[in-house]
Amino acid sequence: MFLKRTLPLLIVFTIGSLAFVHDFIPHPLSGEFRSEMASWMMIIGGFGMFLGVYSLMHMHITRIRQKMAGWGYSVFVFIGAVGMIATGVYGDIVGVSKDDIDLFDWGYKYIQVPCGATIFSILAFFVASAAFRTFRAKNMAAGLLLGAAVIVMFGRVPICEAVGGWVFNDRQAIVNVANAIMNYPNLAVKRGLLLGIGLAAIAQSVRVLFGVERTYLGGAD
Amino acid sequence: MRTPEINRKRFELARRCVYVVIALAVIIPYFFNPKQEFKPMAEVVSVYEKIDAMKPGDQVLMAFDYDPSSEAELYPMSMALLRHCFKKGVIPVIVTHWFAGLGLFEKACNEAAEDANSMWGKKIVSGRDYALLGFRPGWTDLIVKIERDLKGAYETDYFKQPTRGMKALEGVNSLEDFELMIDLAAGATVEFWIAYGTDKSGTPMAAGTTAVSAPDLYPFYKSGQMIGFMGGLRGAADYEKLLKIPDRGERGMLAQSAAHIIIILLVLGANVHMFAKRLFGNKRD
Amino acid sequence: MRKSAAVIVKPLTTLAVIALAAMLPAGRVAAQTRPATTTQATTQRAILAEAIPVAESLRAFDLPNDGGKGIIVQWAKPADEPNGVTYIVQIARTKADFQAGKFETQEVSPSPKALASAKPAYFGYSDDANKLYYAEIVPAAVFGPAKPGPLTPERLKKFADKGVLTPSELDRALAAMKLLPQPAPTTKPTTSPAAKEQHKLTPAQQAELEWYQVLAAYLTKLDGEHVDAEIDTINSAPYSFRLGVKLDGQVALVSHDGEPIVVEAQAVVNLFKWGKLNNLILSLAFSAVVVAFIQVAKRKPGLFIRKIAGLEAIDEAIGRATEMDRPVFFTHGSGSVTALPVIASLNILSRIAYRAAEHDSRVRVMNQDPITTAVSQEIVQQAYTEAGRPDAYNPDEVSLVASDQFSYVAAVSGRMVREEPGAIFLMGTFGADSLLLSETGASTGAIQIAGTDSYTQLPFFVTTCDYTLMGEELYAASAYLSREPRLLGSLRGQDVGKAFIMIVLVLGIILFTAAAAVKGWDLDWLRRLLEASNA
Repeated sequence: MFLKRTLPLLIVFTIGSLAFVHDFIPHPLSGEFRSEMASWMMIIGGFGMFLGVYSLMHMHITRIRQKMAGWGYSVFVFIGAVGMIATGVYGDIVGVSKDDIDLFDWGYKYIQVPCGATIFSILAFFVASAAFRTFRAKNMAAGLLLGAAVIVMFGRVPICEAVGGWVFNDRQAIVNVANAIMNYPNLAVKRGLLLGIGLAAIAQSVRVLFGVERTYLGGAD
Repeated sequence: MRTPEINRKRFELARRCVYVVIALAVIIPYFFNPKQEFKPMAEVVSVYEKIDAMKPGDQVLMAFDYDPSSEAELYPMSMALLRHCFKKGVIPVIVTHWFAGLGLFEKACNEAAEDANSMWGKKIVSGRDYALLGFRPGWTDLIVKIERDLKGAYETDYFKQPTRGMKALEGVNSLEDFELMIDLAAGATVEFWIAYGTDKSGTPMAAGTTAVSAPDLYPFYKSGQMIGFMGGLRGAADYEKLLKIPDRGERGMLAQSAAHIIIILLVLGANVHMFAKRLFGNKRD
Repeated sequence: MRKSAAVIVKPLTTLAVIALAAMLPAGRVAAQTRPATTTQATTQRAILAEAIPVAESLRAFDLPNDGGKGIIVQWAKPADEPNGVTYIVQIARTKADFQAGKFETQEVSPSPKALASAKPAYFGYSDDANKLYYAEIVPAAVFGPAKPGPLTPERLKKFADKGVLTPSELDRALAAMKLLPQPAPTTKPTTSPAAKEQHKLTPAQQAELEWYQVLAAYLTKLDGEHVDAEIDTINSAPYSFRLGVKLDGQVALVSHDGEPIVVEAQAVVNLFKWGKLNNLILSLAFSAVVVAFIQVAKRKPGLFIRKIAGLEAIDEAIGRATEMDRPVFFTHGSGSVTALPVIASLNILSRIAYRAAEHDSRVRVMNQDPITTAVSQEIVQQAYTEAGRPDAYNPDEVSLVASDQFSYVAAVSGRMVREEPGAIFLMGTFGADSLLLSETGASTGAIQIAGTDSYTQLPFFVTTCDYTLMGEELYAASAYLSREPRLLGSLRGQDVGKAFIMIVLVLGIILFTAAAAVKGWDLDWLRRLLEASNA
């Protein structure tokens, strides 16, 4: 119990309180302490990666061994991981001459970059689809939201300046309205949310510091 | 009463139709490249002006916190910023929390260096005219470390050269020694940099994010915690326009205009459909 | 920014300063740099005399709120400040050094930023700060330590003399040094990586070169540590300061009875950032309120908490997944375990895992952060044990999926489509992945419950999920789900804090609106009082 509960809570309280007061103490010792803590966190984070990789590999090996649904995809995890590690290590140890293709670079440029960009670009389709499905002026509030969204979307693209000049004789007319929506109603709502979240985060921190909240240590008391 | 199965089929059909329309709206404009007139946004102008007012040898800390997934929006910003720095003789010092982006950042430095050579005849050398420090784990802890001791967090740079004694890092020991800090972020790192970095050191800060996250930055911009920011491809296009070096940002504006208009039309069309149904008493929905 | 201004003016010879001091109007002006024609000189001297700050106003003191780095020199702004004037602060190690001409100077151009009012953390909020100029001096930037040059054979030998290198290491290093391309690069060219240069070397030579590079990095680090120690020594010494005014190339020093005034100060290590006192008081007060309400709740349980639909729906979602014989998916988004929303989401995970174990339903937790994975495994295992089903726990169901954001999205989306979960919980920190995950989830027909404090992502969750916990609702989850009095008490404390902020906001709006309407009513001091200082 001492090792699983009391000691971790003591560590949380001590380190948490010191990290809090560090912000108000300009003494170099305070800075060194925070810097040292940061180094520890970075080291622990590095070891954490081993745990993560073990968990990932274990899961995929099990999927392949038990021929679970979609186990073929798990094979790709290994092909990707082993392939990139092997080409990277080869390039580092043996070296790749200027005229040869560096397979690691090739894999990065022509597989990882396009794949990542593809996933991100799907966002455009999803935004359109979600907006199309759900943006309905069902009542006054939803109607206002819809109007604001249309103005901001239009005000963010260059063509709105041409349309503004043509319709209102002022190229910046639509841009200005879009900016006003972002700068005032949007900002006011965001600040309200931020204040609420900030207070909730402080309360959560107090609960964690004083050991009232301890689920993160692994389950209830 | 429509069954869930029919609803699901309609959902899938509508989705697919929207996807096709959006794909066409994005692809077709890439075959055209008309000159587009637009005024750069104030939040981008202030970032540009800050760098433009710097003296040769001043250092800017740039956190390129993105990876290939956000390359479309953030890489053009990186290029514009690096070109501007090299043009002015300002030294960019690049760090990242995202190791998967390192290849991109090296490429960006090389491309911007080649451009500086061809456009202004400047020979840009790593370690002297810029420093690519690379990746370290730790997220907020890395920021805390950089805020206090940059060379302690990065004893060597990306090319394994020691940072102590490096010309590009002369006179900078911690975050407060930089003239400006810019975070190009695909995730939540901007808030981390503000909370754990620039608010403590007092270093002026700017940012660049994907368009999805740009509205996040208004509270910080308006409160003065940030001197300016670039939002999405439009932000990159604005910077390119100010720098007078058009590139992927400006080129992408036509496709972005088309996509926005299509989404507006789809949303308005769906609403007209809803009102028409109400008007004609169709209560099936 | 504490980067010191460059030293622009080189010291004048002291003899010239003393000689010229006698020529200037008594009491205040002490020196000028070069002779001018009689009429010009008289006019210039008159203008210069007007620009000299009052001698009594010159002060030097420790820079507050810092770790012993800087000193502030402060003086009054002259009533009639001529155009084009600049102030120069002369810095010497001792008073006698001024006589010997051994001093450095730092220039200050008149501007609102040079006024003391620009730094309320140092000078307070009074109107007097608008009438004072200041210069921030960091001695190490002025009398910087000698820079250790690049590594040479001689310097290597010195390291060996100090015992840092053994004789055999020295020989090996000297031999390896010869393998370096000439001249030895301190930087790496952009387009020709050193790896390509090294191709001409044999593998043994390359290994030696790599060994030398590691050694060089270590020695450079030692040099750096030595320089850092020297900087601390330089900063902590006492210094003497004189103030001068420069106009059209002429310099006059602030003096008394013809003698330039010298002030002294020493930087000391401070123990508190007074500029952040307001922050500290508010943080402690709010924390105290939260702790007080926790105590109250322990004595008087049964505090009311409003209904949160997203949390009420958890049991329904798990029940539906069980009925359909489909798994329950849970994701923390992209945050690490140090992020508060992730800690909050772990509380919800505990409840979900417990319920799922009771219903004999499968929970798949997909993580992006390795430490979050480990903590999640622990929590799920504990929940299964508490539900009396420890045997049903499978660690493979709580795993790391990918640490890269969009690889993670691709993997989770793929599993959503293939495994068609009955319920999906998206709780934690989200970026662009929010819509990618929730839209895919929506297409599978699963009940989706999201919760995040990433407020830009809330619209996406609202449009694609059945229930969304917005911002602080996520943090309230542990109290809501457990109904533990102490946790509920902390929520009440939070509400008191919110009420306080709302009252301050309303009062502030009324006061500042009134101040704008009433002429001469300045409330700037109130705004600055509430503003946290970065100093």
